[in-house]
Amino acid sequence: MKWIHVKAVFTGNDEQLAEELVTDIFLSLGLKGVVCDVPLPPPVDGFASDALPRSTENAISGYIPDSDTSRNLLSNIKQKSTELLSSGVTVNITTQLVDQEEWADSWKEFFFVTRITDKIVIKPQWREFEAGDDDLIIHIDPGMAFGTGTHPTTAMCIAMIEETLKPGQTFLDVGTGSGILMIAAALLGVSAMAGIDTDEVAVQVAGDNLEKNKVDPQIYHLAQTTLDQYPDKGMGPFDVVVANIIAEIILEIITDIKQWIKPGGTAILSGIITEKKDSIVAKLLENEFTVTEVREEGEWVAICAIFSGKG
Amino acid sequence: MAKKVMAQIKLQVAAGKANPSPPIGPALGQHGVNIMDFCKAFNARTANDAGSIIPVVITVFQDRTFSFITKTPPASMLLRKAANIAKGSGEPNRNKVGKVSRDQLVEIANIKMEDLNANDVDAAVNIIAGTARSMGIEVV
Repeated sequence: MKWIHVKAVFTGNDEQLAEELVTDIFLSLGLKGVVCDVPLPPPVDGFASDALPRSTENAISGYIPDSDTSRNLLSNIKQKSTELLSSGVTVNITTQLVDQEEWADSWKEFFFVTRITDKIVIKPQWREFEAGDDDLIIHIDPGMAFGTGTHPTTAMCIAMIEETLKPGQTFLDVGTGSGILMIAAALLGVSAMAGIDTDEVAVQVAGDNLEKNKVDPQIYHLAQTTLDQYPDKGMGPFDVVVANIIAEIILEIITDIKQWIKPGGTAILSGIITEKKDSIVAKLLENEFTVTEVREEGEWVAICAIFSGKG
Repeated sequence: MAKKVMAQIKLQVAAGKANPSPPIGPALGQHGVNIMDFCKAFNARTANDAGSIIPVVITVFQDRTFSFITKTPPASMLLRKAANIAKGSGEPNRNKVGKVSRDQLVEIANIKMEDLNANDVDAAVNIIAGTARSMGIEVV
């Protein structure tokens, strides 16, 4: 996919006000975000010797999809920029066509083989790794979906799944992202599992990753849906339900998880930041769950809870 | 030893809705930052501010790990909301497009206080009033 990078280089007597007004042109025309190339207080410990020098110009950049309607939007941006002259702000607009491929993969250079537990190792598709006899390898290419394996929440969830899930049990992954947790469950001998995500790209990427990991298509089902709309495919209720999303969504779906978990089953919840931990624990207790473990790494929390209700 | 900084990036993006599309993808991708890991952390921290645009300054280290701090929403957006208008004026001196009360200015100044170069609320109110004037919003 191609995008038009619209760069507004600006000067004004009051730089802060100028930044505010130029940014507002983009945001008031409906863009969901901008890049602000403006002076920032330098880092306390200084820049690395190979850091890129900051541009000497002040600029705000927005990106608009390269389509028929984008020309209109672009002319509106130019028109609004000219109008800022009356506020003492001079803006010069330049554009450049950019391809998504130019940035989508550049972080992969810094994504390495990661050992998550004694058994489980995450191996990016583009890395080499010599596995030991007991190693379980997750081959992953997360693309534009959540779940790279480098994130603390993914690692904590995988460790908890390994400690909880017994061979032959069933598994549900709510917000599956790259499908990484389903692959872990498959390696641990799950008999049937479902993965859902509201993001179409995630469902596609998860499917690709399950296939790359040679997970038997007979044992899993992927769907683009929310949990309350999930159609039963004869797999549920499940022994283990995992949701690595964000606290606000987890709070909303705990009552739905109850519908899909077996009595005595385990819920593994993450994507939660420390300050939201208490609210999740309280909601679990209200809903007949017993919290058995709270694990923390940096600002991230993962919670393991057993459902003591009747289902 | 402190990690060396490779880059600092300032973005303004929708709270709780970060995704790898522009501007986040190209801004972080070119520095080798794991885009999805940033989106997850940003969304977790800003979910309560849904509906706002949040400025964020991301520090990228040599090993491509990152940290970030979020700021208060831009004054122009808060002013547009308070005046209930979609856009500022093209001719702010002649063509007024909306009104805000002094109480609304104080409310915005209080929200913005920590990010403004102001010693007290009165000074902060003056800065916000200046932004309002430049957008063609009258203070009544």
